[in-house]
Amino acid sequence: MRKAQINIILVVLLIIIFGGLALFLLSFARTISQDEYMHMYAHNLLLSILRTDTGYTDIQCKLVSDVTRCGFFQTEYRCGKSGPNCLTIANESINEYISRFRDIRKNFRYLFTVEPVGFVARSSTGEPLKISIGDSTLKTAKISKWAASEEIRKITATGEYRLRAQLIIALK
Amino acid sequence: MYKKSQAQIMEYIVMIFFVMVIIVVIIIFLSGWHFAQLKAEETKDASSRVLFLTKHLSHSPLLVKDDYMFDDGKLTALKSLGPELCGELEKIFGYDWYIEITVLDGKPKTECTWSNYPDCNYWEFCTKNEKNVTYDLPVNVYRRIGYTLSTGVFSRVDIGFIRVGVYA
Amino acid sequence: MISIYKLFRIIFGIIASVFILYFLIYYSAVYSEMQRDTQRVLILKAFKKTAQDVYLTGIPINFSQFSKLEFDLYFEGTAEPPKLRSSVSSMIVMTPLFFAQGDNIFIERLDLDYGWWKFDFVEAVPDMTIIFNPLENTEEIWDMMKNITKTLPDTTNFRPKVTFGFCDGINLDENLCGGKPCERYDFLNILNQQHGGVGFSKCTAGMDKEKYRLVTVSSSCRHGFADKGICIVPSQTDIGNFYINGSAETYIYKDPLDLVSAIIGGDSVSIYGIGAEELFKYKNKILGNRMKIMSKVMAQRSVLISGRLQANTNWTECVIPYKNLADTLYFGGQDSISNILSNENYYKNLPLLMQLKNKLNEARAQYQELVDKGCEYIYV
Repeated sequence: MRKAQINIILVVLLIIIFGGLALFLLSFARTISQDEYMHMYAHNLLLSILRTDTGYTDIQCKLVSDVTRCGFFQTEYRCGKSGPNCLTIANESINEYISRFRDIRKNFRYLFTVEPVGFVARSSTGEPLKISIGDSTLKTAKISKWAASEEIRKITATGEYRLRAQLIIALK
Repeated sequence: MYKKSQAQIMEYIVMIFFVMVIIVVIIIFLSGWHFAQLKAEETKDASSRVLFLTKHLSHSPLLVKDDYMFDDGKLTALKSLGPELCGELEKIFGYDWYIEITVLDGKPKTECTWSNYPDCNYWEFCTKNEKNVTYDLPVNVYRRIGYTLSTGVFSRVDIGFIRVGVYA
Repeated sequence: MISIYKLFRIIFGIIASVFILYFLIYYSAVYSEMQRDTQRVLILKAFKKTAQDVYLTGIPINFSQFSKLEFDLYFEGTAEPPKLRSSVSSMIVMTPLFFAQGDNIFIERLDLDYGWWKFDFVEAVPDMTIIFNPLENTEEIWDMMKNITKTLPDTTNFRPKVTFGFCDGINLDENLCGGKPCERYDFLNILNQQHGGVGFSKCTAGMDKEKYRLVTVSSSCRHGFADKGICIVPSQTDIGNFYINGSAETYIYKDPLDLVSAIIGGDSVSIYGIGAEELFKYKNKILGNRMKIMSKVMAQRSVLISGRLQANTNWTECVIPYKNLADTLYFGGQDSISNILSNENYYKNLPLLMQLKNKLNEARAQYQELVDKGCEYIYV
């Protein structure tokens, strides 16, 4: 009688263990596909923003990548001859485009930054130049996030300089 | 003595019975596991298919100027092919899918036709009213007739997004 | 003396054990076979994904998973849609793929550039040596060998290897590059060298048809002339005939990919026919379909844009070139590229192919004119 009882318990335990294992392993199937999609989304959003027209037709200000480069290397230049300076337009454009996507994907958090690599760019008042738009806590947050980065290059008489544009996204 | 032997025999029979039950449970589990694997593969397949279709459509010279930069002239020209369009696209990209391309220009959504081009911002191909798996992705749209100035007509690149779906 | 009870225990135990063992062995044998078939399907899916990734990214890669299990694969290019078939499953392949079976496969993307359009395709080939047997020493033949070589994969720094050599009578000259087999870049350097006085006799060397692909080039090519591979009649107009060993048909080539598709297909024969023939037909079917729809779209686009530009007097210089391009591609009636390709068997008709070649050259020049005038972008 005791042996039969033990056997029944063993059978029930086996079912619970195997069933649990199956459910646990199945839960991975969705995550892998989502990872690839999120990486693609981050990369595409960054690239699309950089390649978009700002509305100005001068060569220094035409695309977001152009006006960003201008903002760090030609701080006094004004787009459209008498318009705002490049860095202002870069900030406004990036902010505008990120907001448009925030309206479509309300469950995403965004952080868009542009920083010089290996040097410091300064404004006319001596302040270091940087672009940072969105949720700044994302940079150090210990959560699942996806990042994409692109380089914007400038060749001058003194050599090649690089700016790193980075976009981090995370789910709310 | 007789009863004791009977009890012992019964013990063995019960033991064998439970071993059978365990074997049957393992078989059912393995079959169920195999079936669950196939189902998971099916879901993964649909997602993989949508992702591949998104990349394929965003790379095809039929629709784009550059990877993930759609050409508004090509999109509008495709629409002009009429009812045979979907059949032609299916020969290249496969069956049971759709794509929507929207320009985020802050204006009301206007589907592009031959007559309203380029004052429009939306294209859709092969849409049906059926259950589907979709992905959205940011893209650019190359507007061939972008800026019309006194010095000429210049192109422009706008930001937008695509929605690609596969019908289940 | 053994008791009846003990005897019962022994007999019952034996019956129960046999039953359990039989069941376990039977089920595990079935299950392991299912597992092997499942693995074959997974490997096929992995190959399809890898080929698709190479098509989209242009980054070449090698695929070695076919070596894990036995495969009997066949690429059915003329099916609708094209499929990669094995004994356990078939897989639809929508991206243009030129495939030859092997344990270790190199996959690379190449293209045919028409100016107004670029046709991307993927070649997936195992270890292979292309052996040329040029029987005359003319510029057309050497140019043809260069064009064929440029349209095959460059396996430098990769395994497997696609290598090149010559055949002269019973001798195979495979190690022409510092005593080692030549890959594409080095072989092209050899082909670019002076070749005055160089002569080869008809190839009679034995070669394994899985690894070697013989390409005979001679004005004497005809049915049965070469007993292996393909035999090409050189031409000054880039359009000419070629023959496939084992086939009674005469084929017409108009670009290097026609010949390369037959080379990759090889001499292997299956229930679907000769590999070379199947891949050649597939190439023309897929190129024809895609070029037909592309030419319609580009023509409509040209009319759409030129109509809008006509309203703006500063850009009328684009209007006429756009209209010319539109006519060549689609609106020019019987003479247009789209109309020529509406004939499914266009690739078997020499006058149609001559017409197509002329129109493609015209379209290329017209699109270049649009690019030079700043009306259009170069398609990268």
